[in-house]
Order: sequence, then C-alpha cells, then structure tokens
Amino acid sequence: MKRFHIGTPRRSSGVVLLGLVLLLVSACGPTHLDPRWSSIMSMDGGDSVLLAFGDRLSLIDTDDGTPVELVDAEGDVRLDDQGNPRVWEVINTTGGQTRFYAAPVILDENTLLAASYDMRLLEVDFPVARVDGASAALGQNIVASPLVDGDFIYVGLSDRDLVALNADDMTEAWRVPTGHGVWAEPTIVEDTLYFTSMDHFLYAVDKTSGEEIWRTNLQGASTARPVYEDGYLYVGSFAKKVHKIDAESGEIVAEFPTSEWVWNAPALVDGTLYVGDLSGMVYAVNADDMTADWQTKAATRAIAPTPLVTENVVVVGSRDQNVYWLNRDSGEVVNQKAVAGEVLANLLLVEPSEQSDVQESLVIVSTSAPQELLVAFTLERGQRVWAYGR
Amino acid sequence: MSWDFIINPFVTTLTFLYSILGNNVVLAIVVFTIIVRLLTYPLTIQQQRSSKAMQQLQPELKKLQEKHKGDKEKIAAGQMQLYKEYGINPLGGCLPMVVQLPIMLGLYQAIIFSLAATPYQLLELSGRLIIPGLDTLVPLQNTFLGLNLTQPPSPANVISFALPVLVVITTWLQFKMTMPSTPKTASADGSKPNQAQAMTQSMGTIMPVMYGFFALQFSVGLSIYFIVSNLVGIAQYALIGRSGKDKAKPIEAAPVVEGKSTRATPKLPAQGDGKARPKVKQAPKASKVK
Repeated sequence: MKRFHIGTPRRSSGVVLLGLVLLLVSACGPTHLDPRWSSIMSMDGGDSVLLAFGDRLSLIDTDDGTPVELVDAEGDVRLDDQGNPRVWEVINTTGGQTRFYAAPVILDENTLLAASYDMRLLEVDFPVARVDGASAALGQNIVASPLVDGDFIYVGLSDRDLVALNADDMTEAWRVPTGHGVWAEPTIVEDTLYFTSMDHFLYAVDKTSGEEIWRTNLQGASTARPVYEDGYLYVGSFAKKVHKIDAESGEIVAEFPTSEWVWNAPALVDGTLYVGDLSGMVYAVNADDMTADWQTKAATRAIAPTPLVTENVVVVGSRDQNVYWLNRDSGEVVNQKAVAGEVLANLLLVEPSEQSDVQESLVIVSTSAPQELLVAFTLERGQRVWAYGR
Repeated sequence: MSWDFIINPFVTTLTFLYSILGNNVVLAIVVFTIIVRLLTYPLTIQQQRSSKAMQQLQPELKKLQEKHKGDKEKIAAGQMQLYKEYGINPLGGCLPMVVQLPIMLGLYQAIIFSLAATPYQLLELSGRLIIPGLDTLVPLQNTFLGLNLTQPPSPANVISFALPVLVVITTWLQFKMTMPSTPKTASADGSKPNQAQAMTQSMGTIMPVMYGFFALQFSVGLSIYFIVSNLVGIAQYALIGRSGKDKAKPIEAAPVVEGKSTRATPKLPAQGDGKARPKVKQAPKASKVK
C-alpha cells in the first residue's frame, strides 16, 4: 500500500515556491494579458461588418455571419495556393503588441485606416485585403480611432498629445500637446476640432493649424468622444458626470451626475442623451436642462459602449456578458440576452436596405470571447440569428 | 479566485499615497511596498526562524538518513518524530510565505490597475477606489525619468533594460538569504544528491530568471516594485540573520534509535533576539542505545 509522506521541510519549501510561481502566473496572467478588445464597423451599407480583434481584421457577412470571400475585379473568388477560396482577412504580422482597440476608419474608396496599439497606422487596401504600408511609427500606442477630415488625419496618442498627419504622405503636420493620453476619437464641427484627454481637459483647437481656442477642465479624465448639437458639446468623464459645454466659449453650462465613470460618448437622439456608466446604470437625460427622464440599473457590471437607440428601445451591452433592451420611454428592461464574453465596444444596427440582404433589423454585438466574437440579434425580439467565432 | 478584497484597498492606498507624495507614482510604489513589507515583517521573521530551526536540525536528520539508508518510510517516520520532539512544524517555514502571497499578488495587481496601460486595465480600475474623490487623480502620471512606467523595457530607452537586470540580481540575493546554505547531503538511499537540495538550488536559479523574464515582458512600474520589494526583503533577512548569527549553532548529532533521540531533553539553541526558542512541547524520556 502506498503511503503519502510529508517530505523534508526543504522539500516543502520547494513545493511552496513552485506553488508561488504557479499562483503568480495564474493570478497575474489574466491581468496582464488583456482580453482582446473587439471593435466593429459597418461596411457596404450594412452588407458586411468589419471586425477588429486581436491581431487581425475580418469581414463578416451580416446576412449569415460567415466570412466574406475575397473577389477579384471580375467578381471571381480569389483562391489560395491550395485552390481554396480566400476570405477577406488582414493579419497584422508585424509582431509586437499588435492589438486593435479601435475600429478602422475609411480613408478613401479603396483604403481603410486601422490604428494598431503598437504605435502604427495601417493602410489597408480593401479590395485585396492587404496592408499596403504603415505610417511612420508614431512613437506611442494608439487606443482611439483616428479621424479623417480633408487633408488631415487626426490621431490621439495613448501617452500624450494629439497629432495631425498630412493625409497624402502620413507625415506629421502639427500636434497639440496634452498632459496625458488621448483615448477618444475627436469631433469636428465646422473649423474646430474638439477632443478629450486623460489629463482632464476638453480641448477646442483650430482644425487646420492646431492652435488652441480654449480648454476646459472636466475635473476628471475622459475616454469619451464629445457629441455636438445646437451649439453645445456633451461629454462624459471619470468625474462621474455628463457635462454640457458651450462649444463657443468652453464654459460648462450644466452637468448631470452619474453613479460611476462614463466611458463612452452619449447617444443624442431627439434632444435626449442616452448614456451608460461603469456601474451598470443607464440614463436618459434631457439635453436641454440636463435632468433625468429616467434612470435604470440595467446591468450588474460596467456598461462601456454607447447605447444603441432606436425608435422604441435602447440597447446596451455590458461587461456582465449580457445585452439588455430597455423601453425607450420608461427605461424598463424589456429583454435580456446572454453572450459568451464581455461587451466592450459599440453595438451596430443593421437595417434592411438595398445593399444588405438582411430581412429584419439586426443588432450586432461584439464580445471579448473568441468563440463568439460577433452575435446578431433581431432588434425587436432579441432573437439570436447567428454568431461568429474564430 | 477574486482578489478584490485585497486589490481594492491596495489600489486606494496606492492612489492616496500618490496624492500626498506630490503625484509621484514611483515614490508611491516605493513607500507602499515598504509599508506592506513592514506590516508582513512578523511573518518574515517567523519564516526565517523556522527555516533556521530546520537548518540546525540537519545533523540529526543526516544521522537519521544514514541509519535507515534506503528505507524511506523509516526515515520519514523518524523525521516526523524528530519534529515532534523539537516542537517544529515542518510547514512552519512555508505557511508565512503562503499568507504573504496574496498580499504580494494584491500589491502587484494594484500597481497594474493603477498604471492602466490599456483600456481594459483602466476599465478594471473603476469602482476600486474606496475613498471618494480619488477618482479625480486617475489616471496616475506614468512617466518617471523619461521612462514610461506602463510599458515594458524597449530599445527606445536603453536604461529601461537595467531594471530587469536589477530584478534578477535582487531576486537572487533575496532567495539566497531566504534559503540559508546547508551542507550537501545524500538522498535517503544514498545514491544521489538530496532531492530537496537539488530542488532548492533549481528554484534559486529559476526564480530570478523568471522574475527577470516578467520584468522584460511587464511594465517598468512592476520592475520597480520587484526591486524595492526585494531590497526591503534583503534588508529584513539581513537584520534577522545578524541578530541571530552568533547564537545559532547546529544541534549536535546523536545516535538515533527508531526515530528517537538518545538525549534526554533536546533543546534548540536560542535564536534571533533570544525570545524565539522553538517550543518543546514535551520532553521525551531517555532511551538506551541497544
């Protein structure tokens, strides 16, 4: 009969040290190794969805959730070396910390611009699904989506500053120094560029020269894009507020308090701001006087994405791995669907159109779970239509 | 396992220290690491004393191994008998380490969240600050002497590679001080080097290399934590060692019969400050050598 012996204390120490190593790895691993952040954008009028996840971009058919095949100029499917159909996929093989935290943007008819966390902007030749070239290294990580406007590409840098690149050759035209990183896409209204920074300030600069017009202290960091309407900017911050700011002067004219940090931009529809916070609350705020029409504790964890607002419902995704449908008038949760991962990026609404083949309006949700990167639900009933995973 | 009950107070304390130390995150990490190491100092002492007691018992254990060469069961039984006689808990050196582990991991994760290099880490920081008003300090300033504390060492800043080297050196030094050297002994069957010693030696190599690897992969801020933590640990072990150096002598080996010592009442020499004599639960009766 075998017996278990307690070894010498030295052996015990060795075992404990080994355990320490394993615990260290297991406890620290999930923190260091970020769950990959997926982002999506609608392509071809809703016919497909471009998914940025990990080190690659994929194009997914909104009709059935299958990868879109790559076709040539004649419309024939391109084949790989083995004669198999090629799908539209771009893998960033440059190594390093290759991750996409932001959805790509359209640079021109055939070119996408994808901001990679590893300090580079990638120009993607859309028809052939290939990275044509990368801009000169920007020297800092990139978290926010770039903004393309006329001759310039505006890029917020992760550690500090916003840079304006010349769109034709990707060289730096000018930069606005900030005290900390810029983690949100800017907003342009006429000749003014507005952007938030983690240094607590909201900046207004001339969009062609970068000259500062004003800056306003929000009393907290902000990762949210400013939203503009009728002379006012609306922006959420880590001061646990949604601020209403005079776009002309930069003066804060009103504030709405939230329970936790506001991560993303509010959705401004018909004079009402719909905003989620990191405690799982959803608010409908009258944009005029910044008072609450309703507020609902929808989720058990953070709501990071901007709410998706339709005629009757407000749809939000949460880190608690659920998608919630709220009655737009009352805020009551009317439907709830589970997904496999955390919902961190904005949701997409795809409606039936000439371009898309979908028969019914779909809400497309991206999650952090590789086995379920995209899930499509019907807007009205919340019925799961398809899911895509890698 | 959720570490929130440790991480959240740690994140809050770290941020608070940052606020009162001139918004200097490195200073906050250094002070906080020192505070935590001082608070866990009693555990460190206990671990070291237990380790020394075991070291002093080595001659007896060696004698036991020689007597029952090849009979693992008898050696194990004899060892347990010896521990019982001398009032030593064989896990006494390990348990304090186990208790300290979550604290160290909590501190480690608190630094990661506070520095928040990625959106996900920043999201994780929300709701962790227990003291109201600290939110306004987020995110902490993450550069120090030109180093971006949130990023791993990079060729862009060659100085940053000095930190992993320091991590390796200080980890090795601390390990050497934690594991006092003992004479090499053979394994129970006498055919190969003692397995425990081999494992200890391996760990002495693996641990510094592993931490050095972490320092290369993880943010510079964590390297600073590793180095400070190791330096404080080295100082603590040096203090403990110095105070008990003159008094600590190995126990004289005595003939062993069936796992029992022939001496009447075994006592360990006084250690440390002289108050930490391992407790002898009950003096075993003397037995004759057959």
